[in-house]
Amino acid sequence: MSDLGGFSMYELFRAEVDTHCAALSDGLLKLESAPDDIGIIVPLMRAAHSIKGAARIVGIDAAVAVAHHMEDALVRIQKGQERTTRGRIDQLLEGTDLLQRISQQKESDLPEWSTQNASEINTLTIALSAAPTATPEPAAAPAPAPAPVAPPAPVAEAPVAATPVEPPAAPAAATPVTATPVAPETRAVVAPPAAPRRVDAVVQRPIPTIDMPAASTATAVAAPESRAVRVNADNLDRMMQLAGESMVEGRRSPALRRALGAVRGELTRARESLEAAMRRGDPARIAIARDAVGRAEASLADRIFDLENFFRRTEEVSTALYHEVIGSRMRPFGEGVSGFPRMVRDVARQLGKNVRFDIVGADVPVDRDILARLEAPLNHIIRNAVDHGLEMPEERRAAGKPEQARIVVEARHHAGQLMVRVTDDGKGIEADSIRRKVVERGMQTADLAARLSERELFDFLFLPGFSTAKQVTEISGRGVGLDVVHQMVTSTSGTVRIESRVGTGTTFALQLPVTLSVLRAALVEVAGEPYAFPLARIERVLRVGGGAITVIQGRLQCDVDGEATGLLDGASLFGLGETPRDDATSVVILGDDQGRVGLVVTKFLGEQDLVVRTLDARLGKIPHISAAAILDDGSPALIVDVEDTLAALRKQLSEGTFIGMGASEATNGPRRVAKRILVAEDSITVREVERQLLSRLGYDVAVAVDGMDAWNQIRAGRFDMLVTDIDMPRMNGIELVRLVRSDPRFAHVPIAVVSYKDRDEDRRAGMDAGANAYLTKGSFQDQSFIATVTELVGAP
Amino acid sequence: MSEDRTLSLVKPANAAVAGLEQLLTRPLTESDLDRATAALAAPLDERSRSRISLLAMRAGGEILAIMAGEAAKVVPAGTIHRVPHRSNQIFRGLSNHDGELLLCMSIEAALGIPAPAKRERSILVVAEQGRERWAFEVDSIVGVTDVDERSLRAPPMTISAAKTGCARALARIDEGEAVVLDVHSLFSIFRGATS
Repeated sequence: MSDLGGFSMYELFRAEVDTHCAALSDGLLKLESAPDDIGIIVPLMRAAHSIKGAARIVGIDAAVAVAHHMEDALVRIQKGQERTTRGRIDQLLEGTDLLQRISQQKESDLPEWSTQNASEINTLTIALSAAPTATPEPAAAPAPAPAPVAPPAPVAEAPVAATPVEPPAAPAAATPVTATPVAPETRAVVAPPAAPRRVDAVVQRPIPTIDMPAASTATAVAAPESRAVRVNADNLDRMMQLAGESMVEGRRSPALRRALGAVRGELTRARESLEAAMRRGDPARIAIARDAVGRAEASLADRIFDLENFFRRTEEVSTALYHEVIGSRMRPFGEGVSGFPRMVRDVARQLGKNVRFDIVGADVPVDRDILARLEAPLNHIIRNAVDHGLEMPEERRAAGKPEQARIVVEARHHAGQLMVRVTDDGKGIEADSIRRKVVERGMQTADLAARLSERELFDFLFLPGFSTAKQVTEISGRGVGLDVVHQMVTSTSGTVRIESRVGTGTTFALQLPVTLSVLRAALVEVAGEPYAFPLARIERVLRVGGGAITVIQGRLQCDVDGEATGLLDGASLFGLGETPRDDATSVVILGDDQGRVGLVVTKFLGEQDLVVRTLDARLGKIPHISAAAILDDGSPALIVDVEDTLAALRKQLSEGTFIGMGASEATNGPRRVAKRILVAEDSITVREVERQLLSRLGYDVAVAVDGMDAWNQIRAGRFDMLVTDIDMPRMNGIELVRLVRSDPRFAHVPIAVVSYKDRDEDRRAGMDAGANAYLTKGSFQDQSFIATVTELVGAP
Repeated sequence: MSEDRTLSLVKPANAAVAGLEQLLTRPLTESDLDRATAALAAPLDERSRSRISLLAMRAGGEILAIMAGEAAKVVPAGTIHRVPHRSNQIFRGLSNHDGELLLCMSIEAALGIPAPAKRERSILVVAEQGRERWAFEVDSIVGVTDVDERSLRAPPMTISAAKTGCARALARIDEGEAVVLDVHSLFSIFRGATS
């Protein structure tokens, strides 16, 4: 294998197969729905042909054979020699999968893999060469019966059957495909023949080792895994151009410095000449000297012009470079979901359902890491939707719905978050059936279950082993899928929520952080330092005159759109003193569905696009702060976590540990003597049950809405015990227990885990993390919860 | 003598100067160059014997030093942004340098020595051990100096046994007695101040 630019040919082949297989998969599905649209076929022929060419270069005969037979079949359809049938589409999709599988093998494993899979390859190539089966639509056309298995043989000779492996300069090359020149916009990092359109470059750090040809076959050592990322080739080109330009611009600075020095010398000399001429009182010399001064001034103006140009260019280049680098992290959402149309088609056919699948927001840029993590949860959700969510065509007809069901995956940016919604128009989820199951399984009493909101009930579906599906199928319904979805989403500090209406359909709403995305923010000054509020997370900013601020029960408030809005001091909230009062007060209005508050800041600094920078992990979660950014002048700014701030505010206000602005003389509440227990639980109902149970016994109970909130409170206050759930957004209970246990300050605090998860491995995970007790939520009924708390922390 | 020999002597000197410039992120002063020249001019056998390089700096009215190999860079201190509910006497906040948000610490507070109310012009020293980096402010940089390891003296017990005692040794340099800091212990204090 050769190496060009740090990439082995095999790596380039793999990248090329990825690109073309995505195009093949997508195009074949389109062809299936529009069999008479011959225009769809040419790009497919080109893709198959390109794979064949690339496979030949790297010497993978199995891929050459498969791609060749796929191309032949496509040519026959294009020439009208055969009709598009579902059976043929199946075979072509099978071929696409096979090519993908080939490219995913380690290079060193390929010969053995090819031998082991020779019969599958032969069967498929024979089927592709044979006339299409006349299976009536829409039933799937089974692949032709396997031909007698060929003895394992090198795949170079593998395509034994009807059509031999295409010889070099095959007659098929007479089709328009081969005649198609490489498009001018083709961006090939290297130029293997028939390079794909807009190949994505593979950037690898460090430069991968070059696989040497079979020199040491006995002890082939696998190259070390290194992190590789795909960067759009155009984007990479532009970054390289701009980096080069930046260096060129930088090199101009010594010349500019020298030129300015020369002008200074010129000016000095002209001034000296002028002074000398004036001392002598010689008008002719004075005139000459004045001319010299004039020339020096003109030179200075020229140099200043050059300098301004230099600054402008430097700024332009660095800004462009910055935007390209930011852009390089982003990938279009569509890239992460490109395999789903095919998956939906296959699963729907298997189940005999008729499903239309749409992707909205395919161009939405998504951080590459988030995109990679999204694939598995979306896969689970979509499979579930097809299998359990959507009705059979006859059921839909009977319900007055169109026979063709619909699933829509939609991505968009909102409030600095990536929102992904998967919506189906199926039968919906019955909240009551979940309620019944919760009671049946002893997870809650009937009384408490009756009080659970629909949203809380839907959350049970994310518990391991909790499934309402009546049948466990091969496709889904094993009760593990949604648990995995929940885990993966929460591991990115995201949330997932279910909305459903019986008979209308179900939506899974995922909210994920866009960690390195650009954020439009309102910049304000608090305690002399800049803070950024994500623009989409604030309601508005106001300048409120002194007269418009009134006092109610010692707390300041002002009218916002006719609504009395309490004011809080930003500096006090951040623990940075107090904001000085002025004639007019700058207020940032924050709010959600539970209410709004006005945060008083020193002044507004304006709006700016900021690149969100994650904070150093050593700082842990900082209350009220989500991330950092660097401003235009190079100084850091902190980005306010509006959601966290509102949640914390609400709690502190209710506990009396934080009070409204203007009531600073108020006390911080009564002296606490009772033992203090922190309850971390995301379900408001369960949280309230636990709070009431413990409060009735006389404990002083504080509550946290998730693990992160709990961790912040633990560090900020004194607690004698922690009671925590496991499944919580932002930080789960296991992570919380580990954090608490790893900090010497809290190592002694007893911890009880109370969860719906009752499997042995869940208990083990809780106890291994450092919990002192593991209880299920059924323990509320049999006093074991109270007994455990009393045993661990003592009487109130 | 041949031209080759001249080049072979000049090249390392240039490399050393360039390396020093890169560490200090500023053009070298006469004093820096004198030190570097003296170190290079020393007989080879003397140079190879137990010499260690120290980055010496002034802070809290004292001369402090760390092993030059533990200094990642020295940069002018930019704006330091306090971090709500985290900043304290030791952890001052975040400062941007070349796009990296450095955690800036007060070396004086960490060592329990008097800190100036306000520095005229402060400099950040970025210390590194393994993959861990911390930045701390100092008043000025004395320079990089070579000392004989055998000449190092043990710090007094009042320092070595103290909770905030990060002294590894005392070194006599031209400017006076320098306290050679144990970066490992210093980092422990920094970690404690940010958690």
